[in-house]
Amino acid sequence: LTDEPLTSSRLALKVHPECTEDVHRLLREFWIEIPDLDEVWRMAFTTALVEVVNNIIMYCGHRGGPCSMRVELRAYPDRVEAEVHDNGEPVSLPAEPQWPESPLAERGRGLAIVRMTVDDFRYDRQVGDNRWLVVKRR
Amino acid sequence: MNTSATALNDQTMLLSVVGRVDMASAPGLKPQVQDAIAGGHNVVVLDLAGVEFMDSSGLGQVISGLKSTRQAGGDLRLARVPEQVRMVLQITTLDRILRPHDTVEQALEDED
Repeated sequence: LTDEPLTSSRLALKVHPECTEDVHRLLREFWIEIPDLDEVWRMAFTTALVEVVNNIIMYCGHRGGPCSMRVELRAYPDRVEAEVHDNGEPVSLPAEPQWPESPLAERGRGLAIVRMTVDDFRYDRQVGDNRWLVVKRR
Repeated sequence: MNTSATALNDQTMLLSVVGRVDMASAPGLKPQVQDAIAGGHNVVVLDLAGVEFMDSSGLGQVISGLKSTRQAGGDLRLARVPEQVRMVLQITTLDRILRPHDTVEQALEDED
């Protein structure tokens, strides 16, 4: 996926529990640039990206130091991508969506929701950096 | 997220929720449900018409409220559920145990 985006938007921030507020703001401004996407589509993409950010918030700071995160949104003619980098611990993810065994579990659904709401979800570890990519076709 | 509580009768509390129910705000829902139960209202209806967005943390707090009310011999029901919340309930299949109702009245009539 190396073609040039029609439009893109970036945000760099310290990771803290309220930083999804900044991500919502970034998305609101980004949607103005691509007004042809319908509300349900945007909801699904927003839900996926926020769940990725939630995961970073929960697991980023395990070494006790400050964590930072970069979010880049890119719109292409056929898809929208969000690429998120954080400098937290490496993460181990299941290959397939995993739901909690108990339907009344209060946790453990976030990344399964990501996989169900977008067309592609990837995670890889780069040098000192986690990279998360969510892709949804338009 | 903001909530306001209105007693509908001796057993039932309506909690109207406004804003985003997410990792940062969702823990605020639990004490509201606990207060309702402590006041004798073991049936809680969550009016979600004002909810802009709910994530998996928000769902977790709703499930926590459901368990608390059921332990108290009551129930928790969802009313006026916005599209995004319906979407996450469907994806997670939680709509089987937390059925979304279009109105508060329909939520009150749900006896399952």
